[in-house]
Amino acid sequence: MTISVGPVSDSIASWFSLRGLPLALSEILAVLVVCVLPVVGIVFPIAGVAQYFERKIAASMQRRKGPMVGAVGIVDLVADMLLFWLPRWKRRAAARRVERLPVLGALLRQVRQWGLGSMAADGVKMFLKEDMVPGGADRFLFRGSTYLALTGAFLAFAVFPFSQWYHMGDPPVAALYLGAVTGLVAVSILEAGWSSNNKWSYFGGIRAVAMIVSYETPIALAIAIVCMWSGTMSLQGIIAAQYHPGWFSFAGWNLFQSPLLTLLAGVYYIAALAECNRAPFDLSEGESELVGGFHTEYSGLRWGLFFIAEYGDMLLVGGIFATLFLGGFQSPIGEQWIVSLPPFAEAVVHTLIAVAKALASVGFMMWIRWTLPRFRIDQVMKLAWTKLVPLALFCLFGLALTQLVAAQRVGVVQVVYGRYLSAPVVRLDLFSWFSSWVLVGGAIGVVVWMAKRAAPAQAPEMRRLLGKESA
Amino acid sequence: MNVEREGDYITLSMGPHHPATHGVLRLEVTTDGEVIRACKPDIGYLHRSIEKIGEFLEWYQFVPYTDRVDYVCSMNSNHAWVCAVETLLACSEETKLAIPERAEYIRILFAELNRISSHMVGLGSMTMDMGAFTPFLHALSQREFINDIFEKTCGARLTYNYMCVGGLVRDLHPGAEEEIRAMLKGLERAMIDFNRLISSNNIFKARLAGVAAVSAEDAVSYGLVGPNLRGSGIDFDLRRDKPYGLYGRFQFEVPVGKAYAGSEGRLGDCYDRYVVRLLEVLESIRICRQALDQMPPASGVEDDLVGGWCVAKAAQKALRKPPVGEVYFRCENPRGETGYHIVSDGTKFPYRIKIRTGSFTAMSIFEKLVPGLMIADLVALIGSFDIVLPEVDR
Amino acid sequence: MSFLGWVREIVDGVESTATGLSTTARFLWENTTDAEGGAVALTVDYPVAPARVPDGFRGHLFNDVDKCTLCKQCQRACPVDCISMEGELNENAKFRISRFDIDLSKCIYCGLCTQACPTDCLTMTKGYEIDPVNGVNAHGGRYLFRMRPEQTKRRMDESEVERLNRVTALDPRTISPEDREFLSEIEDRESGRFLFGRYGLGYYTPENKALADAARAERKKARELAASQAAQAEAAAKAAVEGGAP
Repeated sequence: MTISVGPVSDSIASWFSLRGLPLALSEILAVLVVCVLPVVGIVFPIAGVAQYFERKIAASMQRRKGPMVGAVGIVDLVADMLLFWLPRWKRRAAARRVERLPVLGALLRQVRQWGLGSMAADGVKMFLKEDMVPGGADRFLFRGSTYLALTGAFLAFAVFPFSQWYHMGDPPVAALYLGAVTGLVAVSILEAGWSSNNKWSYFGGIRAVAMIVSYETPIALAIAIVCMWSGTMSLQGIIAAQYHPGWFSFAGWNLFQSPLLTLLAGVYYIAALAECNRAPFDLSEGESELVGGFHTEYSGLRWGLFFIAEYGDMLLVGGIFATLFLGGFQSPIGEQWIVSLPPFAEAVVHTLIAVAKALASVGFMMWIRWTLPRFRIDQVMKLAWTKLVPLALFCLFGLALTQLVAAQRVGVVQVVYGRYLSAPVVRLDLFSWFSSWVLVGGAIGVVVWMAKRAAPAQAPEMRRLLGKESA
Repeated sequence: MNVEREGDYITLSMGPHHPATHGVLRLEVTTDGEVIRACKPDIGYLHRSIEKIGEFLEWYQFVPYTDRVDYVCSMNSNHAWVCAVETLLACSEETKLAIPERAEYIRILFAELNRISSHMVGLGSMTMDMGAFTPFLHALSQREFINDIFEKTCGARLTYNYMCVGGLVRDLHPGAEEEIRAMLKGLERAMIDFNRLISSNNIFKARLAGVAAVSAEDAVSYGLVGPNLRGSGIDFDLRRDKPYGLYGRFQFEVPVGKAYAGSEGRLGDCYDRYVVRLLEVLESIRICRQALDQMPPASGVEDDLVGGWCVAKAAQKALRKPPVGEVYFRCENPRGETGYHIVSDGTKFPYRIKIRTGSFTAMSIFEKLVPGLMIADLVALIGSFDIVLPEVDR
Repeated sequence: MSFLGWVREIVDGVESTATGLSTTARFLWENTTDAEGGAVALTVDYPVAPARVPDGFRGHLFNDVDKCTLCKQCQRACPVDCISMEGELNENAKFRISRFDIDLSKCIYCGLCTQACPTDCLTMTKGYEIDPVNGVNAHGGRYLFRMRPEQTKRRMDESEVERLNRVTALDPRTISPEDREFLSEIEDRESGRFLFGRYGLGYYTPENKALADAARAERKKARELAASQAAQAEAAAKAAVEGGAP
């Protein structure tokens, strides 16, 4: 009997069996490590912790302290559970005695002050709440949509490159697969909205579909353009194409290759925000308009699954943004030496870097969320079709032209990246890189300057409000 | 899912428990997809018959009830009621009260501070309705600073019951003037941050620009008042045009709407009403500073008329036997012109009280404005009118 | 829309977003570093730490019945009718208060009764934690007046009264179980309510009472001063009139 989910799990299985484990066990372990660890070991805990950090970040921006466990602290909770036969004040007294202990007490006080207990409390609350299906709801769809949301988020991790060899699989059409799988989110939200038997949920579902389907276009265009630039649709290939030997590895990242790619990164990031329903594109939730949007009727763990799916999506989008524009799991400096580490060490370092880049992106999304107000649905559509798509098309033609010229000048170079990867890449030489920045960047700059010059003057009242002019 | 069908429209019941209706307002909305075809406001969920209760209370006892007519600007409500009763008493030479100048200045100072804090709630909750939570809390933190001052002076944070017929309940607490000046300075800084963060934001502007524009004729004929009226470009403010109290002694401007949102905006749209409120905060800061500068110092001993209604012997005597007659007193409150119509039959109880509030009249224009807007615009409209439901229902 | 207008929309959007992001980033920085400018967290850890209550706070009421004359001015002034009181003749045939009740579930804390009180015995304390329906410390206590030994149904000796007054002056959360039991014995069996609290429901501490006494003395002094000034002015005016008449 052999179970295998690709060459990576095979190599892990052989690594285990070489160290004396039975073959079947080592194969199961390998599948667990490859398929389950990324989701259960990385995405789940990050989703939980990210929520805590989001609350803290939001609080700090708003002159609050954020989650703090107050009078009913962890110790009180535990004392309540363990000493339930005692009267309440005796339980409290016991809790106070525990808090006066030298080391444990200090630790507990810190935990309480930072509100770390709120994470556990939220989790417990989610599990304990009643799982309600509203009357008149379509029970099958209502329940099914939660699983679909989670599936959409996690299926995409199947091709997510954590390191050169640590990934579930790297099909040659990984980029296409990503586009297909992330579309599941729209379906799950539509299902949830439709099946809830609630008009607000229904509006949320319809809004989400209209929005996500529109934003698939700039996303697909952006991914296609990067694939064109790298000459491959495999994510590992895209990363390999961004490899730059020497200390300054970030010089090879797509973000810095051309001003058009920088522009494209912006387009992709905005579209990706919309894809994971984050502010300012959280119209399908829209708590001030649609009460809770598509998840108004969900409670307890089912709501929690949507929640984890949202954070999983954010993490995924951050990771893909890093893959497409920030060299994936590559280190910004000295990638040459990291890639030549032993395979296991290389996998650990690269996984950490990949997760760190994804987390930085998640943090940026939080920052945006607590800054910007929400769009209206027609403005969202207008942004996609009149701004992002034309910009992406402009990038497409501009980059195609750049690549054509560069191919004429320097031809195709075979980039060899580490032990496993090599990619045929059209690399700009210094002259064409410099001239692309000067020409295209200069052209963009001139247009922006002209546009700003033609802008009408601000009303004096508005200038006064911004503190630029006194009364 | 079950959709009640009437033609191809969906009937939505927005409220009374909806996060964006600012209280227990219910709007019966008929929509065609996201676009609203008809909207019918349904009010009365917060009716406490304050006006009827007032007929069974003595003149001075009604002051705590005016706190509850509009709890976001209790000080202004107090001011309106107290001025109305004092106008009634001034009808007869026997009962006419001489209000100390310092008390008048403190009244105006606190009314303006409460106008600021009320606008902060209005502006903040509007940004929250638009989906931005951070500016909301920053606006509310400024309100907290003002409440701190009120709490030190009058002992309460929401229902102040600070003014009484004939004067004030207490004098300013020691060190209040410095505190207020420092607070105003911080407020100015915070307003600039607030405007940088949200008022000048393009998404926010686009959400409000051109939405639910009220023409000047409509604003007048539907009886809009206060910032909602001025947002439509009508230059009318009771504080300047029919000054009550000592408002005639202050220099300030009356901001009006001028299609501030730029090319997308129209005169009298949601953004104009929003900007008018922002500018009014700045003007109120000016009035507060002038009041602090002009205010006569405290006399040291507790003045007869600064010490509660019972200390004001003249007021006590006058209120036992007020002149017979009717008074309609108009006051410029944060939510616009608030009128107290009181009828006295010469006894110590009012014969009839009628309160005219700005939020209530604003409800009537909904049916005209809303058709054609989207659901998200309706939320913006409610926020831009800055309605407070207890004021609508009383 | 012209091409430049299209570009301007994009540029404006990016610029205003960047302005907003920089502002929130500054908030974050100021708040996490507790920098100057007052932009620090405003949260009060209320149930853990005490709430900030200023001196003039209008908290729940306290009546010092030693000074109360049962004039019922407060009852008359109350707009919600939450004050009720009873008097009785004691053994010396002197009229004095036997019950003074404020229904704190009705009270709106407007302070009109304290303004009305001619002897300044009814005052507002700084107390704000109260459950008017269930009672503040699970005893259902609602009476807010000062006890004398003969006023309790179970007659107490002086030492017990002393203990009662000591206990009720404490923060109710720190009252020991024995004291709680003791308190629960002092019940008005007829009405089913509890009669305790020399200092209100334990919120009106001796320090607060001393402060209130001082404030009362000051007010009295100020009033006397004003009265004497008025009398002097009147006398002066009279003298002036008399002097001017001939």
